[in-house]
Amino acid sequence: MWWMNEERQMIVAAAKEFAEQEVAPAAKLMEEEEKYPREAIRKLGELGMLGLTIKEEYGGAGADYINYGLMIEEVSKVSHGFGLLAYLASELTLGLIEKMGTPEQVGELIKKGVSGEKLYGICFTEPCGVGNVAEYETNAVLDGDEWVINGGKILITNCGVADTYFVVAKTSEYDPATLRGLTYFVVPADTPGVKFGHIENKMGWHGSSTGQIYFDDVRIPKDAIIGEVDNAWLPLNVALLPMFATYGPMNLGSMEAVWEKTMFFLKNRIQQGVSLWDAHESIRIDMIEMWGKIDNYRSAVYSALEDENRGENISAKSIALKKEGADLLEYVSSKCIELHGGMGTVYETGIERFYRDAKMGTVGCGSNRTLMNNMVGVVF
Amino acid sequence: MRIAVCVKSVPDPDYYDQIIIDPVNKTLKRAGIPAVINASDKHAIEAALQLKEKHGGEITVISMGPPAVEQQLREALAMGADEAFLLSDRKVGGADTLATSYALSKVIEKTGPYDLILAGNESADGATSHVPSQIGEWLGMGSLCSALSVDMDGVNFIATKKFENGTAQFCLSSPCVIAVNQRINKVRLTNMMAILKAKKKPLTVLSAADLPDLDEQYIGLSGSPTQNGELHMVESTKSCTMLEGTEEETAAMIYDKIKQFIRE
Repeated sequence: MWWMNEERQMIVAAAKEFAEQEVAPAAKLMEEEEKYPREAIRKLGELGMLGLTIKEEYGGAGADYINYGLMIEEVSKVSHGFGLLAYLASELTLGLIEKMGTPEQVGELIKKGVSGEKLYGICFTEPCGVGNVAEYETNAVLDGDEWVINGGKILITNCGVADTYFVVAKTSEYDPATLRGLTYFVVPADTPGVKFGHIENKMGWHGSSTGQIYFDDVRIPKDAIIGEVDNAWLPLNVALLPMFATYGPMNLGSMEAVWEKTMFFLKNRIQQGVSLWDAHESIRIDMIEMWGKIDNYRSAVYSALEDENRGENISAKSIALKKEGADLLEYVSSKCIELHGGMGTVYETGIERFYRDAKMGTVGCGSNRTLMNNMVGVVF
Repeated sequence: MRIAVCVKSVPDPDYYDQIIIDPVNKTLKRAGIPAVINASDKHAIEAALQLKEKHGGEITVISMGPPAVEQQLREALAMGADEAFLLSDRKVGGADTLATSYALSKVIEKTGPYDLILAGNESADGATSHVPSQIGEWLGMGSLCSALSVDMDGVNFIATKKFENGTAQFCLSSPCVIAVNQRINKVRLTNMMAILKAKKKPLTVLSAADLPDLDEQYIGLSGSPTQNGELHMVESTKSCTMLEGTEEETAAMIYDKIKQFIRE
């Protein structure tokens, strides 16, 4: 593969070792006890994996997005949900601050995030729908030198476990023509008035601590904003949408793991003296068809990450990778469950949770349809 | 303190099911099989890192093999070693453990002096455990195998080793060779930033010509007295015998069975 070299092979080996030693036991607790993997995320930071793409002056490694993608791919081979949390603890939050934060925010937030000491979350979705921002109710009003935030958010990952949240709130009437009216705020979790509600019992991404957050007269300093007042779309477009590309290696790692597990099963499942792999042409065709789709997706993922390395705008590609990857992971994991027979539906076989997580990927962080509609705006 | 750690590049255990033994040359066909640092050698590197953290010093990793072994030495540098040397020359190819230990001892002589030479107790592919003690013999140093702990008391190295009836402590005067057991420690996970910095650490590839007092009769195939025997498949069959009687009687039967197997 054109993107691999000696250094990247070492990154893959290190991430694989981390995934086997740290993610696997954490993933078990995520699935069985809904336990958030705080310690494993902290260790990711200690090992420099959260700050891979962050500049060295901010405590990061200054590596490129392909190196980052390889790390996410490896941890996602063990758990798609953990891959999501690693993404949230790195590019989704640290990348946002690095690209759009003030020097003070960078100094205060990034180094502690890179080391894994502090954890951040993003508060976007409201009951009216993630894309229906015109009806968002969370609002912020300037009162002297402070913003006062009121409202509530739903389906917030890292709910109750993050130290600081980056909260989108209305600061003026939303204008659909200019997309102005929303602002990104930096809200420490221990600010008076921040309250945590119900943690959702979801079909997948278990242990992600996804739930409700309420803001009841939450007062934060006037300068605790990311980017400009009324212009939350700027950080979204500059920092968040391009790195939706991270869903690429996340989905890729999980589909590779499911395919590999299934191949092992088919070659070792002996019926009447013959393995399922040797006995059935249709099974071999199913497997090679999936292999081809996975291989093409892999090329698309690392091609997009290389484009990001070169400074190209990959927002539309990122959305496409998220959508196509979630669909492909759903297809691959569904097919692989079938190829395992009844045992494929059993939790301990280790296949079915990827199917549940795949479904989460089609709606989480913006559903496929919402994001594809956004993509129309980016492409055309 | 200067510590040398001998490491071997071996086929990745994840690919063992794809490794084939050449029936003519009786060697492993490694084409297409990724290589990794031998597992017990990683524990030797970890032991060296812990000694360095406690007492200070420098760690040099040494290996012998084709140029591709540079990759495993870079990994050792990423783990925390300071410098690496690779002896890569067709003249040393085809070496058995004796010829390997001779060549490695010459690299140690050239790049030393060292206070301590560490190695893994055995390799995952050969598993002879010959090389560390043979290096000790070539260099005229004391050696210990299967160490479960290593420390320094300021002058000497203190190592422990487990026996059937307990644990023995050994005091080895410096310089010495110690081969570590895999249970000696837990190997730390590799830091991403250390991987990125590893490419800037010194890695020197040596040829046989760089080792001026190397006696060529002791290296490569010509220096290897080991001859491979005939290959044969081990038949694997399963059977189950039910033992009946009291706990004491069945325990005695199991004891007799084990003794019988050991005799066979």
